[in-house]
Formats: sequence, C-alpha cells, structure tokens
Amino acid sequence: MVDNDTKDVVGQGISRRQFMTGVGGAGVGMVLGGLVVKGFILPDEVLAIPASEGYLLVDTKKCSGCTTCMMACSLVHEGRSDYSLSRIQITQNPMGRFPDDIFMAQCRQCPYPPCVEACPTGANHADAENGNVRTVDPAKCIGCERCIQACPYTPSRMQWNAIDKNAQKCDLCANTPYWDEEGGPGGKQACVEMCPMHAITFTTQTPVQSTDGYEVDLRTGTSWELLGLSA
Amino acid sequence: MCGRVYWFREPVSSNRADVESIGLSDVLKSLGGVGEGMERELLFDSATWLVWSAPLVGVLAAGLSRRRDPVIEDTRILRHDMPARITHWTHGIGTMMLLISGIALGLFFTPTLVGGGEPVWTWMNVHFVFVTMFLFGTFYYGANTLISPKRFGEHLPTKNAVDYTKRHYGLLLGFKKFTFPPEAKYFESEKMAYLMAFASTVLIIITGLLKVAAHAIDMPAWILAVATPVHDISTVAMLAFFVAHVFFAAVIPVSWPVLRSMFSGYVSREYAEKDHAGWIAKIEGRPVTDDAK
Amino acid sequence: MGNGYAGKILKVDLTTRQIEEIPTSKYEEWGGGHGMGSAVFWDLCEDKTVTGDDPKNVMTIMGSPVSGTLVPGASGRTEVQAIGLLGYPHPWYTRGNFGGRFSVHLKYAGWDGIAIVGKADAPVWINIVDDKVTLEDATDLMDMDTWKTQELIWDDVRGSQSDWSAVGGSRDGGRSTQLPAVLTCGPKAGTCGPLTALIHDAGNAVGNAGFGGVFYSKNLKAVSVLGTGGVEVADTAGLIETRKWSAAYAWTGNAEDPTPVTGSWQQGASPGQAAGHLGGTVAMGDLRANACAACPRSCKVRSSSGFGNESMCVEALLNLSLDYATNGAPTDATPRVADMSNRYGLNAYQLSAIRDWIKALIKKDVIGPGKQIDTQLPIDKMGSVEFWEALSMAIIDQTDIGPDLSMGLVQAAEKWGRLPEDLADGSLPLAYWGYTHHYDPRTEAEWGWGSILGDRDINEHDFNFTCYWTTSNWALLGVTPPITAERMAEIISKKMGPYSDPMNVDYSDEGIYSEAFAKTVAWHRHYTRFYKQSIGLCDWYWADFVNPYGPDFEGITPEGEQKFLNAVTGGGLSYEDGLEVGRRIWNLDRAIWIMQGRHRDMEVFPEYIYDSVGVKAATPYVMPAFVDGNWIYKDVNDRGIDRDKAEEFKTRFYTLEGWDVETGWPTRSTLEELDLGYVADKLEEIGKLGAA
Repeated sequence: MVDNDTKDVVGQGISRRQFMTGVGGAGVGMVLGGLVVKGFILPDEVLAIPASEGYLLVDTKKCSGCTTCMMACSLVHEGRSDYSLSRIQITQNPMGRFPDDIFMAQCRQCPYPPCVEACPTGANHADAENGNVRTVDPAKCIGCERCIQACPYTPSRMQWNAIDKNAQKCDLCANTPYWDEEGGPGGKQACVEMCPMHAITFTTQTPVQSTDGYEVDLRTGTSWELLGLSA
Repeated sequence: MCGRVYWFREPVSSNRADVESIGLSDVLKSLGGVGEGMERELLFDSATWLVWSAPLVGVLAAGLSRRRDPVIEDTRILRHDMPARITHWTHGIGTMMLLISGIALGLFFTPTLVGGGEPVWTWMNVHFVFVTMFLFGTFYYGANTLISPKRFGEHLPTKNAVDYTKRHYGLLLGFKKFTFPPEAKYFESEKMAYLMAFASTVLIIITGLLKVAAHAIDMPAWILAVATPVHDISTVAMLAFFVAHVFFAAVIPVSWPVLRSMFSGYVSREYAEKDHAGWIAKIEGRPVTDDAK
Repeated sequence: MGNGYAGKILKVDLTTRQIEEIPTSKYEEWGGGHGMGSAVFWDLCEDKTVTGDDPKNVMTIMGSPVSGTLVPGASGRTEVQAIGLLGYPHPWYTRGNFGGRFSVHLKYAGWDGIAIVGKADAPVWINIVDDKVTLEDATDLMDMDTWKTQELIWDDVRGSQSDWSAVGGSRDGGRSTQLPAVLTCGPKAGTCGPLTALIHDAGNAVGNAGFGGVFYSKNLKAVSVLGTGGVEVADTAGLIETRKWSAAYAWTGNAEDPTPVTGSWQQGASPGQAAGHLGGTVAMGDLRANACAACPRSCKVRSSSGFGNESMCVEALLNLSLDYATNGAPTDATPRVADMSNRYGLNAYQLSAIRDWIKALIKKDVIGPGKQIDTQLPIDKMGSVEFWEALSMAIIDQTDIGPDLSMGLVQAAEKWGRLPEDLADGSLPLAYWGYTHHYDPRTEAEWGWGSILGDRDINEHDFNFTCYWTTSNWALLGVTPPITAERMAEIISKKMGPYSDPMNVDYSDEGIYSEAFAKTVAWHRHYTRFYKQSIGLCDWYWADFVNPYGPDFEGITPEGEQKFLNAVTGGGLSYEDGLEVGRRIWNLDRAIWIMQGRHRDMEVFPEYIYDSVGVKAATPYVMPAFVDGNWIYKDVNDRGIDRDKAEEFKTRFYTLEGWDVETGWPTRSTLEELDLGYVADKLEEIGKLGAA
C-alpha cells in the first residue's frame, strides 16, 4: 500500500495529514465541548422583549364586514388588494347572529409575543426603530412557519405570504411601500384610516388582553347612536 | 432541564421550554414524525451543532485515512480507493437529497411543493440530515485534496479540453472523421463540469452556512438577503450539473464500467486502455500518444 | 402594476363538462360586467331566440375591473345575464346584479367572469378555488334551500372554521380565512322558474328574471368561488387618495358631525338603512350595519335574532305593511318573511305582486275556498309567517295555486280568466314586461320609459332617490327643502355630459314627454349600462347627483366615476367615453332583443298606466317640475300616461338613438358608428335592420 501523501510537509515536521487530523479533531472537540458547556453549565438567559408602543383596537360590533381594512392593508404593504395577504383578517358568517357573525382578527402586538419567541432566526422581532412593533424581516425568514403555529389566536395573526415566501404580520404600517403616509406606532395605519365605520382605532396604551379580545366600545357617545343599531 | 442550545451565543429570548437541545437519536426520531408528547423539532434550530461538527469530522476523517493511488492489478485497475468512494457517495447522495428537499421547500422563484406546517418541518429536517452528510463528504474530499493537491490537479481541464471533448463526443455521435482522444483518468469534459460543480458547491456551502448561522447569531439582514438568492441560484447550477452528471456517468451504457468502479473500486484494464489511454500511459510511466497527432 | 383585470374569463360547458379560459383582453373594450357579458353572450349563444330554460341559453356571471378593489359601492357587485324566464309577452335576454363578496372572490381567484353554456347530464355545482375549477355532484342539494346549500358547500370547500386553510397541496397554493362565496338557486327552482331568484350569502339576490330557474334548467345548483390571490390596480396611491376624497361625501366620512339632512341619498345615506325596512330592533333585536365588499354605505343589517340578515328593500318590505295592518307594529314576521324569500330563492318582487294581487282579488271576492280562484291558502292570515310559508311551499311543491303562479303571473291571470280585467285595472300590478310595478311610470317617468324601452323593471334609482324620495319626504314631513328645485335641476343637468339639458328633470305633465326628457332617458340607459352594470357601481351608491355633504349639495358624479375607474385601470377614459361604451352595449342588447322579436309596437305599458285609473298613492309623489316658467317641487301623483304623447316620446327617443322610428330597430349607420357592423350584418340577415 502506497501513501505518498505523508511525504508532503507543512511547516516544520508536521505533515499535511497530521495537520488535517489536528484541525478536525480539535474542531470536533470544541463543538462537543461547547455543547456541554452551553447545555449543562450556563443557565438559560431570558431577555425581555420591550413592549410595543402602539396597538390596534377594534370594535367588532361596529364592523360592517366590508373588508375595506383587508384590501387597504394588503394594498399599502404589497401593492395589491388581496385578502390572503392582509395582516388584519375579518371573518364572517353571513347567516350568523350578531355579534358573533363577524370576527375581527387584528394582531395584538402581544407584550410577550409567542411569534417572536418561536422564530429561530430572529426574523420575527421587536423593531426598535419602529416603536418595538413586532414584525418580520423577510430576508431573515426561513419559512419554517413556527411563528404561524405559535400565535395563540385563531385565525393566526401571522400569515404565510405565498408570493414572497415569508411569514408576515401587522407592523402597524411601519413598512408600507405603496402608501405615501408615515406609518408605524408613531404614524398612521391604513386600516384605521380607511375603515369607513371607524371600527378600528389606534392606541399607545397597552390594552388588557384576554382570549376573547379587548373590550372596546367605539360606538357609545358617537353619532353611531343616531342609527338605531346595536347598543 | 437545559435550554435551547446555540453554539455562538444565547437565544434572544426563550421562555418556551419546548425547543431543547437534542442528541442524534432524537434527530433520527424527529424525522419519523411527532413522537408521543414531543413537539416537532426543527433540527436546524435544535441541533445546529451537528452542522458545525460535520465538516470537522470530514476533515478529521481525511487526516485519519490512508489513500491508495491507482494501481494495475492484473486485468483490473484500482480506480477509486475506499476514501474516494466514501466521499463520492456521501457528497453525491447528500447533494441529491438536498436538491430534492430544497426544491420541495421551494426555491425563491418556485412554489413550495409541500404543504405548510408539518410537511415543511419534515422536509427541513430531511434537508438538515443531508446537510450533515453532504458537509461531511465534501469536507472529507476537500481535506483529502489539500493533503495531496495532485488529486485536485487530476480534475482540472488541460489545454486539450476543447479538442478532446470535441473528438470524444463527435465520435460518440457518429462522426467518423474523429479519433478517440487519449483521455486521462477523468475525461476533459468531466473536468470542465467539475469546475462548475466546484464553484456551485463552494457557493452553496458558504451561503448555506450563513443561513445556518442565522439560527445561532443575529445575522445582519442584508447578508441573508444576498445569501438566500445566491443559495437558490447555486442550487439551479448544481441541479444542472447533477442531472448532466447522472446522465453521463450512470444512464448511458458507455459509463457503466466507471459506475461499477464507484462501488467496487476497479475498472477492467481493457476498458481503461480503450477509454482512458492517457491515464494508463501515465500509470505505466509511458508517454501519452495521440492518434490524431 | 395591474389594471384591475384578472386576465381571463372562465367558460364552463356543462354539456361536455369542459372548462376553458377566454382571454379577457378580447372583451376589455366593453369595460366588464354587463358589456362583457353581452359581448360574450353574443359570441357564445348560437341561437338567441331560444327560451330561458333551453340548454342553448348562455349565462354570464361577470365581475369588473374594480371588483375586489377599494372602489366604494362597486367592489362587491356581480352582474348576471341570460335569457330570462320571467316576462310577458316574452322573457327577454336580460340581467340582474347582486352585492356581497362574490365578485371579490371571483377576481381573487383569477377570473373576470364566468360563462356557463349547455346543460349538465346530472345535477352539479361549480367549485372554483383559484384556478382550479371542478364540477361537483349536486344531487343532494337540488331540493335544498339556499342557506343550507351554501353551508354545505362552505363545509365542503374549506370547512366553516375561521382559521386559515390552505388550498391545494403546496403551502404556496394560497391560504384563506374566508368562506367561499356561493351563488345558488333555491329548492326545486325548475318548477317555478319565473318566480325564482339566485341568492348569495344570506340576502344578496339576483331577484328578477327567473335566473334561479335558468340555473336549475342547466342542472346547475350553485357556483362557489374561493380566491386566495388578489388584484393589482394601476395607481395605488391614486385609488387610496380618491377613496379618501370620496369619503367626505359619505355619512361615515362625516360621522363626527353627520348633521343629518332629511332625504334619501345615495352615497350620502347613513349605514344600516335596511333596519327601517325590516322593522328595526323591535323586530330583530340588536343590529349591526352590514356592507357589501369595500362599501362605506353599509345599507344592510345583521341581527342578534339572526332574522333579516342582509335583507334589503323589497324582500324586507314584503310583509312590513301587512305586519302593520295585522299587528299594528312590526314583528319578527317581517324579517322572517324576508328570510323566507331568500332561503327559498324566490323573487320578492314577484311575491309582492302576488301579495297585492291576492289583496285585490279578496276585495273582488273571487279568491278563496270554492271561489273562482279556488285555494286553501290561509289568505285570511296575510301578514303572518304561516301565510307566506304556505304560499312559498305551494309554489315550490306545486300544490294549490302554486303551479298556476309558477307559470308567471300574466299567464296565471290568463288561465284564471282574469287577464284583461286585472291587468287593466292594476289589480295585477305588473307595469312593464310582466315585471312587478316598482316605481310608477306615470309619475316617475324615466323609470317607466327605461323599462319598456329595455328588458325589465330597470331598478335604477339615480333620479329616484333625489327627485322622488328626498323631495317627497320633504313634503310628507313638512321639511323646508334645503335646496330649491331649480338648484336640484341645475346640479343634475350639469352631471349628464352630452345629454345635459336644463330641462332634464322636468317631471311636469309635459316635461316627461319632452326632447330633454328623451335625453334624460338616453343618459340613464347609457350611464347604467356602462357605469353601473359593466363597472359595477352600485345602484344604491351611484350616481351621486345631489349629496348632503357636497359643496352646495353637489355630489361626486361624474368626477368620482372617472377618477376611480382610471385609478384602477390606468386608462384615460373620460366620463363621456364611458357613456359612449354604455350606448354601444345598449345597442348590442337591443339587437339581441330584436332577434328575439322586439318591435316598436311591443314597447307599451299595460292599460292601467295609460288611463288614470290607478289608485292614487296615499303618500305624495313630489318631484321637480318646470311649471309656468318656474322650477317647483310638484306633487305629480294621480296622472296617467297619454297614449299619443307616449308614442311621440318614443319617436323622439328612437330618433335620438339613431333607430328606425317605424320599428325601433337600429340603423346600420348607428351600429357602424358604434363599431357594431357585425351586429348590423346579423340584423340585416334576419331582415330586422332599421331603415335609414
């Protein structure tokens, strides 16, 4: 058996083969060592995610189900009216009974956002430049859909954008390339601006969360009371 | 209970305990579906360490391997020693499965073939497993090459590239005016394809490792905005090479002797003298003679 | 950048079960909706003289470039056309449209419209999910009501859960949280064709024309569409800006200080108007305003009782007056009867004619057990759910007088020997082509002229809201008109493009026969054919003539139409261009009617319209009129149409349109001017081209 390779020498007295053996062995050792250190010795570090500086509030009883918000949302973000790309979802059962015939599914910008926590690459993050709104950086999204699964609400406030192939969510209009208004927690939101019923509003105060939604009444004390509709 | 494991630094946040560090047996288990009480793991996330280990194991293996040069044994010639066969098949099978799983998961310009949720995680995990195999095989090969650069040289085209390729395939296509060139161990056409495969492999590995790194560190978005499309475009180049390679090296009957040698290690002397006259001449220390000259 | 079009029209051949695509570009010159529908019908219907239930009949269900966009009062409307089953002496090639969200899903699924030809060999429903189109077995659905049918189809397509569901095997195949939009006929719609409607969601109906029966005759129960895509418009920022601009003209855009001005407005109306028609919270419980897609007007309601959801106007009013008469106040019978007409897929207009006719027949003492019209129906309980249920079931199950009514009301009157008398004295209130008396041709003349010169009860409220409802309400409630009749006439005239005439809305006894009024009718025919029926602008939102929030009461027509349409399509269509496309469509439709047998002589009203024998309405019918050199608001109630003057009016109108005044047929030069030379060829071939 011939092994000419041992004749090649790197530096002084160390063959290329020995060098490779050393590099490989040491590397594997470091990885495994690091694994042990990280896994068993260092404690888990839990970093708090700063609260969003803005929230959408919706009054489901005021919603007419016209879906203007959905068309507007997808239009300002994606340049197309597209229910499936809207970051706010209005679901309705035409034969249902008020107020359960319509459900407004807006992102809550959760204080402890499971979607952000579930993201393996940091694509889904609190955007410090835009009031810590929870948002997805499409470039970093690997499409694993962890966030979609992690959202505790139904329907999931995370969407899969089948055109751009990344997850997306409500960013309070921080990034709206097809709109000439300043968006984000400090600006305007297309759904708030466009909802003809004024059933969506914006607040900087952290609303109290419940699984049933926020208790919001945008009707009482407004001209709505002239219409002879719901209390 | 230990937390989510990252090699380079801690996670941004983890107050969910469902993603844990897992071992190899868990990696295999998670491919089969969601086990009892076990949430589907994303192996890229929970077993990132394997991705870093695989190339290093490949390098280590190269260091520990003993290589044999081609040698004539009576009527047969040793063409591929065991390390060559291992690197070829781990690299090759890895490539094939990465292409399949990668395309199933959707290149950035093609729709995902699989459904959302569970199927995506399964295919991402398939991708993961073959990433480790591919990295092992490729780095095993790479380290071998660094140990003996002459092996690399055997793969590089020579000044004969255009002439030999024209004659080789011209003859195959039935143009009688050509004579078969005295090809070396690898055909000149293979050597040119090798360069393309080499380039796309390098790009795929660099961009792939960047993508994996994003699981462990907070990567700047622009890097991934470049890495992802480059990874996908390299995939297309790799796919083209892969298809061509399989066709010329496995599908057409003239390639079958060499295909067999990728399992047994040997080709017949008769075949080698016919198709690789230049190679035989070199092993025997003779000058290469070319009928055309 | 898009232009609002999806790019393809779906052709479903039920006979061969073949699914084909027609490129929309072939028909884009027609705008969309009705224009496209008529052009497609012209091309696909091989024999336009067949009856509505013939397999050769072609039905089109069309959206428009603005479907699925933010254009208010337009995004969610769908136009349906085919040879109808309702009509006397002849069911014409006709139309209807409906609101809701069908057109949005059709667009988002990638289709500008659907053309249905042939007849299936077994009951089917058409299942459209994006570009995947399949024919599904509908055997079990054929006798099912429209709500149950839709619920079963929702379950079948995606389940009724409100979570995301994926389409197809790929995760990039699209996802939706929405229920598919379904258009369906009622139970056994084939047995009572002329009385049938098509229903979408709870209460959006293509009421007139008997299209439910056309579905049934094709062995087609329903069309379901779920779209997970979207639509791009030419000028995104421009569309948003125009929408915000127009919001200032809507009640909702002025919600902080709506300062209600008494009146019946289009765009300016307040949300939830249907509540009033349905008996309000007393009859239904708590209510929400409910809108069609992207519409700020939200005229419908949904209720905590689940009664009256999405019902409007005619079906809502079906029982209201009876309810008042019987119970002194609205009860849940009113919304429940509305629901019944929707669930059974029956045409509420025809039901209301049956209601009024039965009332008249009771007065004449000719209906009841053992009487000339022998019936066991509980006609002593009109106003109750029980009566309406019995009547509906008699029609659907073909019992009692159901089979007679199902032939069509004129035909039933003929069979019962009541035809000359009841139609002549208005007991059988069918004012045009056997369609139910809606607004009165004697007073609101453009409604009557438009209807007999066309194919059906026009049901176009452009002038009606302003010139009748608003003005009559002022009179009824003693409100001082916030604008003068002169100003109203001025606003409307200036919005009528090339048909503008200071006397456009002179509803005086002479005015309604005038040259100016002929222009008004021409404007109306052309405007509605394009802007309403082809682009889909909702009749309850557009045209916006007089608006309580506009500067000096001026609404956004015609700037609104033009701005919105061009923001979507990116075209440079002027208001006048649109009217001209409308004229082209109107002439194409007329050619089809001529092939079906239309002639000037047929374009007449029933007897009761001519002689003032109709019972004078209990409420005022106040309209703008130019009398003795002054514009006034005049009660024009209690007048008949003068037979001779009506004929003179028709001559004026035909002349204006470039039609042969002897026959009412378009001339070659008129058709060629509209680039309809091929239509002229066809009419010439059958000897029905107007003489120059």
